Amino acid sequence: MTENRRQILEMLAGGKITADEAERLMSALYGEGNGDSRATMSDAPTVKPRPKYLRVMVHDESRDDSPTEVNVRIPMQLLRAGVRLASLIPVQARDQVNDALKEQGMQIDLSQIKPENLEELVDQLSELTVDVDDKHSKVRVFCE
Amino acid sequence: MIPLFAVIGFRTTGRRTIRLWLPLFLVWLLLLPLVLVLFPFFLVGCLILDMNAFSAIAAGWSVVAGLRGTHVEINDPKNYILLRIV
Repeated sequence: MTENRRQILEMLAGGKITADEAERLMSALYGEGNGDSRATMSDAPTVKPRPKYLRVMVHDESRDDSPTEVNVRIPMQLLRAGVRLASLIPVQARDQVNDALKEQGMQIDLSQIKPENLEELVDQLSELTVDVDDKHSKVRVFCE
Repeated sequence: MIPLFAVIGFRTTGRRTIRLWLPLFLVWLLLLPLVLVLFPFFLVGCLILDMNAFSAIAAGWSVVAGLRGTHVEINDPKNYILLRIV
């Protein structure tokens, strides 16, 4: 039993909230309408599926004739592979890249970036959504 | 698994859209002898650059395998470009 659920039941037992209110709180906590209420109320955390693709969609109507559409789908596996490739940069080249980054004002040491950090970075991309809405154009970047 | 086909699309001057299916598995087969010839040079390069050859091969392979599912489509009033890797 989770802590939140125990608190709700204690409040109900103490007469602080009604049964309806307790039900509403439970629904808000565990999500409503998922069909199997026993499954949603279980203590097991829900596993979010890993995204497979990074999508970039552009719709531009700034020109009078007809709109321009750009639709790009990059597999996340390719991003991961690219990240793995980056970790193979030779030491000499890494120093040059570090120097170039410093010149641009970025204090990043590539040698400190480990493959597992990069993997985590790619995983966090699943939460990424960029929406740009303009009068004539729309840009969307998201993972699916 | 490495990609086996690529679809390339473009629009001709006569506003006709053409899509070509390219059998990549034939390209891989044709590249195989070249890879075998270049492999010793690759190993020497890895030794010079102090790189793990197996990691480099694994990373290269995962890049090629990761290409599968790539889709790039640009549709403009004047141009149309499609690249799909299957």
